[in-house]
Amino acid sequence: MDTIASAPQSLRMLYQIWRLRTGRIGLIIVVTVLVLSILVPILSSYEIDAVDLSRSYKPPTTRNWFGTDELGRDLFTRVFYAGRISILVGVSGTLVSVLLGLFLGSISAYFEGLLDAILLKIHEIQYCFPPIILVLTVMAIIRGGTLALILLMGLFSWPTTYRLTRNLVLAVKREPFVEAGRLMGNNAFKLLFKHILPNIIPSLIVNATLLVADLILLEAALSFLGVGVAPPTPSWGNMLNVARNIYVLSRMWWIWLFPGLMIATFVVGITFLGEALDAIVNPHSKTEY
Amino acid sequence: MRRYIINRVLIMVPTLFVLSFIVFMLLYLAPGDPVMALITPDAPKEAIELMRQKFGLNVPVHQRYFNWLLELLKGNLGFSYSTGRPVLEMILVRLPATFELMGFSILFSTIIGVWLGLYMGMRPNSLADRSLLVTSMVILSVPQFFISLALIYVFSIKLGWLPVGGRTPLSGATLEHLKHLLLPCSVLTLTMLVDLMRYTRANVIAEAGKPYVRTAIAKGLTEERVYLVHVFRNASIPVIVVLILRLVRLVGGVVVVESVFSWPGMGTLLVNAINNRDYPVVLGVLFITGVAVLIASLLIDLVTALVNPKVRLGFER
Repeated sequence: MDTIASAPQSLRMLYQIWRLRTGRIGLIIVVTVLVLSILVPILSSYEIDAVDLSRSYKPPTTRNWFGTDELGRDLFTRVFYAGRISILVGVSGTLVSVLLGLFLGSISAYFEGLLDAILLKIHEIQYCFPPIILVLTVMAIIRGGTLALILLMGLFSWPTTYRLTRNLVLAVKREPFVEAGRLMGNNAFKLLFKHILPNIIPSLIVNATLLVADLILLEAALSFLGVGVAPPTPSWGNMLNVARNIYVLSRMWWIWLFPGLMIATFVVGITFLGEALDAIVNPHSKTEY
Repeated sequence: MRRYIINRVLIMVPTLFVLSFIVFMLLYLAPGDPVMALITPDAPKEAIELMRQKFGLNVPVHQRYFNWLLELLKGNLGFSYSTGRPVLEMILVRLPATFELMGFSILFSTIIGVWLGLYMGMRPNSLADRSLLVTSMVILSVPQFFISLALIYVFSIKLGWLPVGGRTPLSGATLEHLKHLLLPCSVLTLTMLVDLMRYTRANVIAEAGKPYVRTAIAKGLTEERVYLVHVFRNASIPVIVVLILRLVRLVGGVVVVESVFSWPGMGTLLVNAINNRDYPVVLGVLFITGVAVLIASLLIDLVTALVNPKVRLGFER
């Protein structure tokens, strides 16, 4: 145990995750999908957009493990290339959302008063609209690209981080050590960044992990409806878009089954990881699975 | 209590105003000319100008907003660019289908969710409890549209038991109507019950540790009776708290599920309007959705305050 205790904090965290069954499963899934997505150019003998019309709509074979699409492109290759986009969009969107929520939540809780009241009101209005409706509307109208998608997903999903940060900062603010810091003449921002925020980072990491799962699902739904990541760039969602056609849905199961399973598997992995982190960060609030 | 209600209702007014302003600006700031979508690109300038006037697009933006707001107060949400029909009418026609879908989903997910939560809370950390918890995480991880597609594939295409999508009028054959409702309703129910199940479970576990439970059992009541009558009653009060969370989740889900199943409700209307750049319809649907959720949250808050005096006296927050 001595070696564990003296190991860097991140390694210790990893060990704690590994000890929980959900954490272990989550970690294995996430790492596997990430590695496959990153290494797919080396692992696959097909190019991402290698068209082979003589082999269109072929069911899975030893040559094309996940079959081929209408242009004869190898779906195994495309599913993992799509993973790159979907994960990138999900993680970047989360980053935008967390930074925004963190900023607004901490100033809201730190300064309280009118600013807090106004931000709470905006948060309440925002909360009435499911992010999917807002992103769907704006994306469809501005016909934005992937960058716009990331920014919009981040912009419209700040309430969870905002509320969490606000509550945590409000709680930490009342702690004696913050009071002491204030009496020593530290200014507001130093107090916030040096003394308050480090205390709430673990909870924010849990929140961010679960947000990644949410945003990957959001991107998938938007791309499925045809307004997210635009083809020919593959994403997990837009690969399923063709399955809205009943002919494809009924005759070519491999076209929608594999990308769909991929989203589900990866998001399950992220969720398990998030729940495991939660159990580690807030040990008394959860049961082990 | 009366003061709480008045305060809560008065706050609605500026909120609705802000909401309408945001919704309007959101759509105004977007590039793209709706007139060009209706007219051939080589149409004469006069024809384009005439069309602009007809839709009130030729006045400054603040005036357009106030026009819109004035008409809104009269119950006029404007006219669709693509069909020329009143937006409110288009929404009202679609509303019953969406309410039907949402109503049944809320009903079933509440019954099943509370029941499962109670079942799990009575035996925490048992095999059944843990597998249901893991299942709930998996359910929330699978995209709703993927569940929908898989269900259509199995039950409509392979087995042929249920229709692929659409909706038959209520006045027609009831069985046929329910068949169309079953799949979309199942998808929404499945994703809606998870939050409630987990919440109820946590509440039951928290309640079960309280002294009155020990007293009741010591008195000789059977464990079933203690749980079903006493614990359940106390554990189910906070259920209304998660209702708003579930409602927002449901509204988002309706958009996706309706379009997969071609269910002729508000979700399909919104997606179609977005594809047609039919701004008045998009605006209308967004606004009505926001108002509906705001009213729902108001009602939920009032019921919460009625049940729990702490809230209305301002002890919480």
